[in-house]
Amino acid sequence: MAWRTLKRLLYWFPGLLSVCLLGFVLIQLSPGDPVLARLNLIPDAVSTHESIYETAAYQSTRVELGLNRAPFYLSVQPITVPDKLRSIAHPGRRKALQSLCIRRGDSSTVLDWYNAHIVLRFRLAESEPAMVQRIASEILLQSETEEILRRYRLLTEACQNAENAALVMQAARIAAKLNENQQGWKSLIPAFQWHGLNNQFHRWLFGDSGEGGLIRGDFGRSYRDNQPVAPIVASAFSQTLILAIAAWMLMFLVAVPGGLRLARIASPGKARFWLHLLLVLYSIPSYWLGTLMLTFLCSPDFLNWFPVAYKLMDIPENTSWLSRQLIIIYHLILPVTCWTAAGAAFLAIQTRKEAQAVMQSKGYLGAKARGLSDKQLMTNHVAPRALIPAIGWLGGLIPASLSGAVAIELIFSINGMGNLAFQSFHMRDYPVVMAIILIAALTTLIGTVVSDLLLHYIDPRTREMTTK
Amino acid sequence: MRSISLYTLLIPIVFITACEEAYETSGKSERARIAITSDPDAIHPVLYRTINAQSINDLVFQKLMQTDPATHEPVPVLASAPPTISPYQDSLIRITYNIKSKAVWTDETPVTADDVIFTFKATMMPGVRAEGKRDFLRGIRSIYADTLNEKRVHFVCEHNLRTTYATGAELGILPAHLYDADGLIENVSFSDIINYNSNEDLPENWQLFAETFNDNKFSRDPDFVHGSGPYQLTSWTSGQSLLLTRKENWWGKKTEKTLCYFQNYPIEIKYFIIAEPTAIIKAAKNDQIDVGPILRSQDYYDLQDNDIFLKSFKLASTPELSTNIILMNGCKPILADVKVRKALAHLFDVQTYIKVVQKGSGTEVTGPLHNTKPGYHDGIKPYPFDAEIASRLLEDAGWTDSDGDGIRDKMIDGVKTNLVLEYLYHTGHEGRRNAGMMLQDWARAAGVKIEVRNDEWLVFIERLMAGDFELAFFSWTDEHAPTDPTPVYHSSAIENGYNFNCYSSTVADSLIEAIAQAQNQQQYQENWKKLQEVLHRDVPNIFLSTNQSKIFVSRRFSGFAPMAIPPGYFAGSLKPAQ
Repeated sequence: MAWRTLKRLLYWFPGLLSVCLLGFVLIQLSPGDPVLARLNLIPDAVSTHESIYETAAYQSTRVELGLNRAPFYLSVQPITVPDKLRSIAHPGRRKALQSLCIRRGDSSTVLDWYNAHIVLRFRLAESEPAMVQRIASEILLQSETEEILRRYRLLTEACQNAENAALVMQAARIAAKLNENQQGWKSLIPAFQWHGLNNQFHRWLFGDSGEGGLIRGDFGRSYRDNQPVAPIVASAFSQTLILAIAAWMLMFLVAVPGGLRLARIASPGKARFWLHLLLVLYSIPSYWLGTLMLTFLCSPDFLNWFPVAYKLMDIPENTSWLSRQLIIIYHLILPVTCWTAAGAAFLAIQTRKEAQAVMQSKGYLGAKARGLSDKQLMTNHVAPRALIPAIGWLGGLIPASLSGAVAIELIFSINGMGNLAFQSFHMRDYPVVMAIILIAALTTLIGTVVSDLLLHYIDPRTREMTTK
Repeated sequence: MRSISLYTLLIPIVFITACEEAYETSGKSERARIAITSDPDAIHPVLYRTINAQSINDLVFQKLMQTDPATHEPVPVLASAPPTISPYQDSLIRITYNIKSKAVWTDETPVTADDVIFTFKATMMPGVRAEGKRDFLRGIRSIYADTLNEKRVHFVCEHNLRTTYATGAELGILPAHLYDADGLIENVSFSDIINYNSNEDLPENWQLFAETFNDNKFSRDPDFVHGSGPYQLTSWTSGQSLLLTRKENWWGKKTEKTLCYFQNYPIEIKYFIIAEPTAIIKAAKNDQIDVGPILRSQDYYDLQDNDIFLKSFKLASTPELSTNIILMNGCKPILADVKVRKALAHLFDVQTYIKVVQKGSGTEVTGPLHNTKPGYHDGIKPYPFDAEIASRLLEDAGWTDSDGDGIRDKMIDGVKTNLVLEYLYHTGHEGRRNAGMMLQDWARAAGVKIEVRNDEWLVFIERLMAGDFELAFFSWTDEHAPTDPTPVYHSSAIENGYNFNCYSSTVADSLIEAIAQAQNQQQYQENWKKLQEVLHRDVPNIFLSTNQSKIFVSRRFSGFAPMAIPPGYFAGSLKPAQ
């Protein structure tokens, strides 16, 4: 068993790495710019006379967050799209240039034109009215060569200075080359690019200049408020853990004995009634149950029995230890009940099924024939076997608790992992998101090992399999 | 088994009794418990960015001048009187403030001109994360302390209303001896900082200062956050709560409390961060919070009929400096024609929108300026809701239903184009979705097809900035300062700003420039009125209505000072009922 456990632990590393990589890829694919979220886009937040993407605030925040680096060690894209495009912060311009490169099949002409146009824009900004500058800016957002050339014609007419008009025509001539000798087919050839160690994933995993990085136990800093991620996640994890432990205890204390009792009900009608009731309970979505509880049990409009929000728990300093615990438990009753309901129903059904199987086995019938009491039969024969699905389920229960907590934590205002995950996704706070993904993966692995070990001790069949 | 059931019944009763006792002894008589939907980003007058941080910062830090919510005029707070303005050289002016003699920091050190200069220097210092605050301060050329009076400070700046306002009412003042304890920029002048050449390396002490000043401890740690305001940050647990405690020996204690910024009634103000609006209302009903954040219209009107709630709470609705508009992207070929834009304005029934979606709590506006601000043009009549006029305008623009499918079409650049427009709103705003559905119905009558779509906020805003939309519901929040339309309506702001409408007019540009440079109220208001006429004619977007901040306040408080910017009240003014 020890060797088997060790082997399991060895599998953790590639497993965790794969989960991190998958999480990282999904983050890269999700829309929404973390820099804009960090800058909290409000009209006063940027200079009024330059594009937000050109402001020092945007540029410095992008560098600070490391988003100017390549995402990963390796990238694959059409051979015609140059890596240089990533340094262009304006998404509209980047997209337009990428499209031009793909159609043209030759990035050097596109970049020549882009650079010429940037120089032209600076010149026009010095001596031409706003209208001219506007047309010049809009050209950079076009991905059709014909449209670019049409706007150059407009720009030439609008220019007030003859020298500037000549420069516009010069840029237009470079743009016209985009139409010549197009080799779009080249874009079908993929190009693999090696970015070295200076990439976002490497920074997250190994840190910068020998400091930080997951490898040193540093999850980085939150994009949202620049606070270290580890204490944020630790605080949320502790809240969820309190809730989860209470929920698991309740689940096992209610569901397993309940399932065993249900297995012993002789009347088919009565058994069917309880089974249907459990199925209904299992089918109720936890967010709906939570909302119902909040409406009917936490409001003077109906029954004002329970507090609404866990985070509003206000314990005066001079409160005794016992009262303090009672207040905490009082605040946990509804979220824990809500969280437990579906799981407990499922577990009770599984326990009943397993117990019934045992009760029909020859071993059980033999023991019964030997004159063992009901209590002895349940304790020695049925209960250990009936616990097997519950223990097998434990492995998935821990991560499920983390992910399933989102709705409960939002409804009852608990600062746990679910709530944190929701807020962090919303704010594109990716260091926190990555930490949550990692912890969820880790808890899944721990849960699997724990349930394996427990099964090893409870179920003789698994012991035999291990020995073989 | 019977005994277990009895215990089961008894346990909740014991819990409830224990908890009720705990609450009774918590001494809530002069504590204000306020719900906010998210953490403020910083308790720091230079570094904060979010609007909910602003209201909390105003309790800890003070400005030289601040807008009186009752009159919308700047009034002295740290300054002893309104500033004196005198001409300086080269068309510049000198603005002089005297700081109140009694004004001191938490450690009893006097607030001096050096503190004011330090705050402005720190804001303009490269590397300090205060980019959002700098634009208003660009008109200031130098700041210096009076050689004879440490409580007198002079600003030399450009002569325009915005800059004059910014010298007094833009920044909360910081104590230099606490936020630059090592004197890293003590000998650096304001002019040195604004004239710094960004191509050169930043001096070492400047760099060190920026790093220290940006440190989180100055934004979050109670030991490092110090202002001259009536409250002190006592604790802050992210995502959970934030506690401000009243300063018992505060310098402004004996000042006349007519101005809300000098009111500090609650002994403690505790902010609870609760994201879920339903939970906030339930918590209020459970007597767990006293004041809520801005309510959704539907919740507000539901609560108006809830007698149990109204026994403990008052509902209040205060005008908010924000206006709702439907953006129209004029860079899109269909919307480039003013007749089409005007037709759409005729197809939106603003009065019905106010009645149905806003439940009557808005006022129709005909321009971008809020109707309570000086310069608003009362004389402009809104476009009447009339599908016939809209149809005529569309026909004039060449849009006809040539194939009889109920949707107008037109040949654009040789391609038959249907008059189909996408209406975008950001997720979570039911009212904005309803506005889109209403427009969809009304527009159908004139042969215009509207497709209603939503996007999450960050994706929504990125689409607006990239010009990747046709119609979008948007709300602009203004501020008390003179409104500068440059970033929203000037043609230079199409790519370089927030001119999402892609609106461009030389007439409007010159009026906008005149507003930005207005030296007095008369020039400012005259040009604003002319600009509103031009915008009404060109219809860059559909102007809809103003909003109201709807809040609830516990009856334990006899009153509060309403504010025109979120959250709609000044927390220090929550006066416990006798």
